[in-house]
Amino acid sequence: MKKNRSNNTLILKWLISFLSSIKLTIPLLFLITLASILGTIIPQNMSREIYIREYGLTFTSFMEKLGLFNMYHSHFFISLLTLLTINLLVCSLKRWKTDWHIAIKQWRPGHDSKNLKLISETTFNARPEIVIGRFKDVFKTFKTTNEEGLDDNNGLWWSGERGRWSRLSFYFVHFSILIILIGSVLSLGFGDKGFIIIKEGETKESFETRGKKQLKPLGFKIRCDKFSIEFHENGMPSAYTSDITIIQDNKNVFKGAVMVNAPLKFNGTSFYQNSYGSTLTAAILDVVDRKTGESHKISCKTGQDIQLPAGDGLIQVLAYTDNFEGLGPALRLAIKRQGKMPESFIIFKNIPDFDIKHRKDTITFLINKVDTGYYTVLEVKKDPGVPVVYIGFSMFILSLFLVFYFSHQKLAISVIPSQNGSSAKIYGSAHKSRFVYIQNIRNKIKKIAL
Amino acid sequence: MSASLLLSIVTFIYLLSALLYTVFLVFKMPKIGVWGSILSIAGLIIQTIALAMRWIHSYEMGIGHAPLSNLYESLVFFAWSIVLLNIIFEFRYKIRSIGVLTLTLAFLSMAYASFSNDINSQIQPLLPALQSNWLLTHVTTCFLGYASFALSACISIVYLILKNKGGKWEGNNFLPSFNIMDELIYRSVVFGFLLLTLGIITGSVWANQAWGSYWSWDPKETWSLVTWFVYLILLHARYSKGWHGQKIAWLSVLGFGAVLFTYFGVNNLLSGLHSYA
Repeated sequence: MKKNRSNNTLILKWLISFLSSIKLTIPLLFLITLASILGTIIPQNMSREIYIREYGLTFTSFMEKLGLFNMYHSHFFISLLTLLTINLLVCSLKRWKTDWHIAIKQWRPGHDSKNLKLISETTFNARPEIVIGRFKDVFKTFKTTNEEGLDDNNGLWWSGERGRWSRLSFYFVHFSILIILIGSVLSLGFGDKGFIIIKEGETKESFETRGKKQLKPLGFKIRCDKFSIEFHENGMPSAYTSDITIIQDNKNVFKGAVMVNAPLKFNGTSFYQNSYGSTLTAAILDVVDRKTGESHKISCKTGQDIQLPAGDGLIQVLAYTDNFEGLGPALRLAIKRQGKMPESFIIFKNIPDFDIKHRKDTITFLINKVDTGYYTVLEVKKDPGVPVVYIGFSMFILSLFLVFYFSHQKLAISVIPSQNGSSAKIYGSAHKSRFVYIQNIRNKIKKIAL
Repeated sequence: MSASLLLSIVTFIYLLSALLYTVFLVFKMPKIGVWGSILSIAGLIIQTIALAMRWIHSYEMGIGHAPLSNLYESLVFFAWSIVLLNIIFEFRYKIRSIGVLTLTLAFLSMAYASFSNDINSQIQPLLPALQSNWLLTHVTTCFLGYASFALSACISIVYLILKNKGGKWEGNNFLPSFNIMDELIYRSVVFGFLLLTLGIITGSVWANQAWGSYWSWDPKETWSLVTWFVYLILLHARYSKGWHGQKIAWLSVLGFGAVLFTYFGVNNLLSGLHSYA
């Protein structure tokens, strides 16, 4: 029993040291990088047919199992990210105690301290008090931590430090990464994303989610009053604008515009201008009798059955497109006659004799007039993670700056009187960028003339 | 004088400056080196004026925006950033020799922008997606970051060449010692990393404003993250494993390879949302 327990603690110790190890960090970062690259080379989230055409059936199944077609959401990738997060956490927790103690406690070396690195030895033509005074003046930014006389021949000792708190900036960096990760988990877990297609004048109260194609209620109604495109002189689009009204309890509570780069937010739901298209509001068709040449006008809307003039069936506009393969506006129609299979065909506004030539019906169709309006596609998003991610972003930038440009720097000097004045030994260390620190100290000492 | 003529002159000045730096280093002629520096500063000043003119001109055309909106303008700004950082490093750390590579890179960037047939140098209006205040911060931070990584890679290449020649190098008036070069590689990576982080974050905030998503694994996004990870590995290897010298220099060159792929490769080889530059 006792042996078992000690075995367990051994395993636990090993696990902790493994999880906190830099030997884990670097391979993890390497694998995440590699997986990210793979995800940009292999097309993501395409239909299975495309993959089979590209890679063959066996390979496709194999790659599918590995999650290579949805790399960034695959178990493999998520596990790597989770492991990296654990690595970062355990590593920070393990080191925290040591660094916290250094950060809160003033550094106070005795003058016989052996673990200080000697960085310079010089002589001055002045007494030790004057040399120390001058040093304290030149290194004003260092806070004095110890000042005492040396036992032998009136020597003096001074030590100072600065940037002790920067021992903690490393934790601040890792902590802000955690905040960003928490934010993105909130986005994935509690966020809702989708889109909404609204014709001009139409009102909608739900949006469609992207993945599962569900309809979800907005909690209010939204109406598109107008959609417009503006152009630059050279024909490039300059602005897409959806004028919208928000309706709650049958009252117009808000009027505004959604533009690219200018989303609209209402009750925690944001709307972004995504795309647009044109749609048929009404079409006037000429129905021509092939034998007599007699013509009748009928007015139709998409999806509505209209009685044919001869009374021998129904006609319906199935779809409208404002440019069919470069041939201009076109309508897809369907004729339904009793006892016959419905027949579907296309007519073009710019090719009036198309229907006469291509179908052998007793009646033919011509587009007399089409009235179109725009529809707008808005991206809809509820995302409680965004503020958290943004807080993480700001903290991360700030802490990176601290971690890169500040370090805990120590300086100490012992001055002993000599024949013509005094000789000084300067010691120092920095917990980061040691080399530059020592260089800087040496340069400053050179400028002290006494 | 037009902005485009000034930019042609700048291209020529950078070439001349790169040549002078080379003569300085190869024939060990300190005075020529000073002229290399003077020319690079003159080029930078003229280029700054040209960029300002282009900016003002876009407002006169009624489509005012910072000259950072397409491949041409980004290449010109990339050259500008490299030369600026080169001058800063030259004065701060007293190393003139890196100019051989950095000014050559600046010249190549300008020349590619001016002479390639696929690159349109006209001032064009902005597409709706680019009409945002984030354009300025996002592009400047990214490209200053790229330029800093370029500088780091240049120092790394010099380091690796000298190291492979063998022997000890204590430094002279023309080239600093291995220790100092190692430190400079690190310093430029750190500056680049800070700016690339800013660039990715501003891009993320902008994407959230334009498309409603702060991260969508678009190839450009992913590759900027890949670049960021390469340098992250470098920094962790240095901090925690104590890597120095050759290993760090190789990682820095690899990182710049990722920068170049993010900049050029993604647009030419992969398709995505980020099709401007």
